[in-house]
Amino acid sequence: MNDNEFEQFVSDNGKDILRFCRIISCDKEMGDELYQDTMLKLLEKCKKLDCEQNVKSYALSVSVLLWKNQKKKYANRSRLVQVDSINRLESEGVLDIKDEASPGPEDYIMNESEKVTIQKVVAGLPEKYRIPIQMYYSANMSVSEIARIVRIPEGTVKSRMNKARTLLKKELEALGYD
Amino acid sequence: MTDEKLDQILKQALTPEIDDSEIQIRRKARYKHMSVKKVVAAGLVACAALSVGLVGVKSGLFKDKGKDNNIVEKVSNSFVVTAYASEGKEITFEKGKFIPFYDVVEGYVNSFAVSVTEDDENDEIDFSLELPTFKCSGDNIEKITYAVENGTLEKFKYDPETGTTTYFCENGELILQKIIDDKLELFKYDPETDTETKIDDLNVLKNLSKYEVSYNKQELEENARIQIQSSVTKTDDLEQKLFKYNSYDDIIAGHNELLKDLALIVTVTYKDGTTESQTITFNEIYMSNEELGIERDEDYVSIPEWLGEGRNILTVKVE
Repeated sequence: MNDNEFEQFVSDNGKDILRFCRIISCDKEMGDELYQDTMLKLLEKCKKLDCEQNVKSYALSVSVLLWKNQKKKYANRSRLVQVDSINRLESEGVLDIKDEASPGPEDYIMNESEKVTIQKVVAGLPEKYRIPIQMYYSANMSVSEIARIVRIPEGTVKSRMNKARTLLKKELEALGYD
Repeated sequence: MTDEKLDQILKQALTPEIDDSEIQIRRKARYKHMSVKKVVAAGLVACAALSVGLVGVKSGLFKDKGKDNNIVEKVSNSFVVTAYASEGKEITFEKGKFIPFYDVVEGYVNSFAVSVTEDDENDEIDFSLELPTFKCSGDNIEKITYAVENGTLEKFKYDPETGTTTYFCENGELILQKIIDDKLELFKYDPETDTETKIDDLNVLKNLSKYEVSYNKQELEENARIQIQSSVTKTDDLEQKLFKYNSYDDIIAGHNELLKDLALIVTVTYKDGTTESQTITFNEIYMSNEELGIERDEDYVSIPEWLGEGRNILTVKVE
């Protein structure tokens, strides 16, 4: 992949990758940092990358690895990972969702705070369910692409996504969504 | 809730708008990580590929820094300390000379790291320095002790496959740190029985003042890392250099202020009970891309531009 091809790759896929980085990091600044680190890694290997291959998948797998590494370093440093639980978010009023009269799916438009809340609910999923969901929605990846990135069979990706949806439904319904 | 509605909710929540300007790649001020990522000049590679680092004292008188005034003097052929860099690569050091200590293997770029964090409450600047483990070579060595002056250390192994970090504790215990469902979990590991026992006290991981390794079990250390931790009093000047720098001079002066009192003391205990020590100190220098043998891509944009002209490189010296 030469410089022009890399530039084109960033133009075509940068938004999906940055969006995924922000979603997986649950933080805009950390997500931006992760995106930059991912792209710098790609730049280092730019000459070896073949634009005929799925570079986007490779980039996302780099993002996941870097994110896990960051998480580990953060855990090392702080000795304790702060994990927002639904209960705590709820008790602190962060999860301030939904009244009884929610609009129907066809006209339902979320506001920004609701989006953040949903992102936190998704972030509360176990990692094996969360990453496929985040890749599917945020990075616009297909099931088969996700399977290649996380190196599990497509059927497993599907079942994990179904399980994730079931868990999310349960959480969201508990918060007042119906 | 229907599947369609959930799908719609997730689509909206997980696809925030991204502006075109946000996807631009910038070369950042990466004071947290020092690394050489590209081609290393042939001479430096040759140097790095040589086994056995920290080639010590040719011969001479050594004084034990041991306890209880039990100072032992020993005339010997000295011992040699080697730094594991990565995958069989090692770096050669010379006594009295600062030698650049950088990664020579792709994929090891984040392993030598200096991280600087402010602690406003204590008005101090904490920092950590991650290094590979060392090993020693010599005759009749029973064990080796590593200790840090003006700091503490941790020794651990990280398994990227499982995400498990194994900590080597001062009392010889092994503690496994795992992140399970986004929660930090600790387990005491008994290698004899291969059993893990969950630990509820997350503060069990204590920094080490020193650690010992049996001479004939050093190969087990190869993939381990040590992290030296220390802190200095925060001053406006140091803060300026570390966080609001305007040049490599600022960055390096700041880092060297952090490193100036830090030392790793390597002490070997021979089978006859005598000991011998070497002191390793750290310093950072500037090296241009040319000196490092880095071929800079002309289209590669650095912000600010001077950051792309070279690197701040950690060096190590045997005193």
